Amino acid sequence: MADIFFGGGLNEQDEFNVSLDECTAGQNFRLHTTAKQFRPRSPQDLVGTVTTNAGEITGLMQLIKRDDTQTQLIVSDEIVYSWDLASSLTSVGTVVTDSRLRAVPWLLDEVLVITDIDLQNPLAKWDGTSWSRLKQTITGTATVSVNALTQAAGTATMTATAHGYSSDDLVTIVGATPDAYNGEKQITVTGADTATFSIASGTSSPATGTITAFVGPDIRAKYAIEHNGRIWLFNIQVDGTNTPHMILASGFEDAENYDTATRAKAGGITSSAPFFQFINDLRPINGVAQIFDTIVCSTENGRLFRLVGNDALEYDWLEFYPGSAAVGDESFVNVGNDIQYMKVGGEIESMSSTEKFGDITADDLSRWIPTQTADITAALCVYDQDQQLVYYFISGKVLVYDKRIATRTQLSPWSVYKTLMANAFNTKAAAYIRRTDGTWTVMWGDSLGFVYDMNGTGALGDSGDETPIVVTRTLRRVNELNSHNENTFGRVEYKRKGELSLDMAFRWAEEYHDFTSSVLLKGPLVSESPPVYCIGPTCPGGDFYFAGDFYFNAGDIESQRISSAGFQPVGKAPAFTLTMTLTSIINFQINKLTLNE
Amino acid sequence: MNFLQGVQRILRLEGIIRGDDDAPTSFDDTQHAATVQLAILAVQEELTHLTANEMIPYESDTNTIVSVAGTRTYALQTDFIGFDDAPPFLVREDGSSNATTTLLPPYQGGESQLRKDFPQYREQQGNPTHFYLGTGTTKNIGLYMVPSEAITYRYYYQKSVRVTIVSDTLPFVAEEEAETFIKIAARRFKYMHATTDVQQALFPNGLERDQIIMSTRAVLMNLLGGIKKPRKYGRKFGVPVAQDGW
Repeated sequence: MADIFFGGGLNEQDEFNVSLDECTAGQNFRLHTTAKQFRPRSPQDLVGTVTTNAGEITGLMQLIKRDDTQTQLIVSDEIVYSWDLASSLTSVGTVVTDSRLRAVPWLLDEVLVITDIDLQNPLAKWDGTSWSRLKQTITGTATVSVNALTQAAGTATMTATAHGYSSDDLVTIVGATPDAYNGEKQITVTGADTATFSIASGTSSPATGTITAFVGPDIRAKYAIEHNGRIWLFNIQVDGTNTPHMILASGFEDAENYDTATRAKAGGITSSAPFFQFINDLRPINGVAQIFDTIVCSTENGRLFRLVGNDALEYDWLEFYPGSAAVGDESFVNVGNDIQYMKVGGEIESMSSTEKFGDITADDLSRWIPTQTADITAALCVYDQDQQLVYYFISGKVLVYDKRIATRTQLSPWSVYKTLMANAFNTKAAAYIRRTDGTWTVMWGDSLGFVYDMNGTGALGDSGDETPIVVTRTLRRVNELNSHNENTFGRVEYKRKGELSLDMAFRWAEEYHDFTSSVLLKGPLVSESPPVYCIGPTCPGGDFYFAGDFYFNAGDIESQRISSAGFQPVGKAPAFTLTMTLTSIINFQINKLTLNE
Repeated sequence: MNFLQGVQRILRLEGIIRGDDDAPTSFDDTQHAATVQLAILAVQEELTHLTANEMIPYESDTNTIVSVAGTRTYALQTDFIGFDDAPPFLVREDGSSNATTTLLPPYQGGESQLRKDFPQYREQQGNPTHFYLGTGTTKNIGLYMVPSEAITYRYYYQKSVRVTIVSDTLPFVAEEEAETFIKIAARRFKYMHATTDVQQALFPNGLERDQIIMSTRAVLMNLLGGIKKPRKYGRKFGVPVAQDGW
């Protein structure tokens, strides 16, 4: 029988559709297009720990400015921390808990525009040093007369009888001289009649003129995307009123200018003006992603829509077929050359095939893993561009789609990641983050204030505390051998990365028992230093030359040496399935498996 | 050489242990479970074959029974296979001098004939004159007449040399004997492990007529013989006889 390699992923289809390079069950293996080896996924390195006010990580965000400097935010419970990707955490703001904060960069102003999937918090921004409300340039109708407006040490103090404001409200001041007092301000309420806000310390005081104030609406959004020089907000809440079918587009090249009263293509609107739209089917928007030159969004139990047009005079949404919509609220993601999303029933689909072929399931991306995806109703989906992997975080596991396998082979591109860590990969925040060394990875947070690197390099398993990774692969039913009449035997070829046990469980057809062969995979030998032929003044002729222990036998790159070990399980049957299991912290590598040769 | 070492040697001879395989350290090894079990069978079967056909020195043993007044039957050693001599006998020993005084022959026709000849043989006490093989689930002998006093009887027997656990010693005094025996067992293992096609190719005359098995059994018999005659093995490669007086 030919050698068996491990180039394919999980394939839960009927066995006749499964290659021997794939597996019918398995977890925690890592695929690679050019190296068809059996290897574990990367360990989950613990890279961040919130020690003060540790709680559920609900947001992981990163701002990379034009000068290539970067800052990160971790939201733990109700505290927003600035994080240096190491151990330094600085509290920069507070939010309402039970939120899921997400960010989109707006590099014209070098800020992150921050939304909340759970609509618990208003729009916010992060400029690398401070957290604040995102201004909206929308004035309210309720006018308050300002009795006095002064400045001292960079703080403006506004006096207005019974203003009724709350801290962090966005209040627009008009009519003041000098003009620095005017505009949209995020205030701090200091009394029933007073409030303060930041202003340039040199501003003359007091302000003069007939001064009035308007409080702006509390706008919240589930999603934000930067597209065509605007920030696009989706699924909106205004002053507590949900309009989940609403889309707000900022003014052209002005991320802090919105209009909840003027529609796109409305009479009199200018091409650069902000506007709002209602998605065509008026259903709640539950996903949005950018793809090439446009935006695609999904509505709950509705369909996909694609944006067309170039400015406020043209923008409109084109419909896909009914029932093409995504499920959940974060299962819709750009994967570079396409959009992937999860549909009702857990099927994972690509937008391109939906666009090309319409309502057909034969080309679903998840057609290999119907069991894993059955009845899944939501997922947090993140694309790892560097690794070309798409992660679907689902309760208790992560489904991993390998784009390289999908595009270069006919084999299943799927793997399933699970962990023995208590968090079980359950997360409310995962993001594609650039490390300090310039490499990229996906990081995710758990419910206890810990942040993990999906592509860890540690040698101590998950979390760096020697939590082992349980890696399994089950070959499809092997019936090519004459295993009913002949002894079954084989060899496993591997690299000596570290000593661990490979359990090979044979499940024989027509028998009621399994048999497991435990094969010891050996680790490196003595050392990995180059051979030493002669040492010190005693050479030649001393203890270390020709006669000593160090001649011709010490040193080698043993972890690179190919080794093999045989096995002969007990049992005979017309066919069998074989499950390979390794539970270890070692980054093992099994090159191939040979049966009955 | 113990049983485990014998099995390890078979696995090495047959190429089962190679590459980075370690020798199994117990019969519970799961990595080479199938071949370990086959090797165990090969050793046990070949040993049975050997001891059924030949008496090897390791099989011979002796033990005693002490009669008790009024007790007719006595258990033999648990590893008793058969009496060493034909016909067998018991040797009556008197006291610590170990001097033999009487040989007890087996009763002709055994217990079946005895109960016809002397229906009261189960009760009749006196000085035993014969013994007979008893029946039942354990191997035992009966004495006729039923002893009336304590007397020590010695018997010489073939003991079981069956090996079952890893630490059982293979029944050979010299390592050369054990190694030669294992070579035969390895050949039997190869036969058992081979597919039908391979069996027909390697064993065209069957296992018992296999040239390697036959010649190696001859070697083993020579080793077990104890007394060697001068041989000419390799002589032509050495110094000429006329010069060194061989």
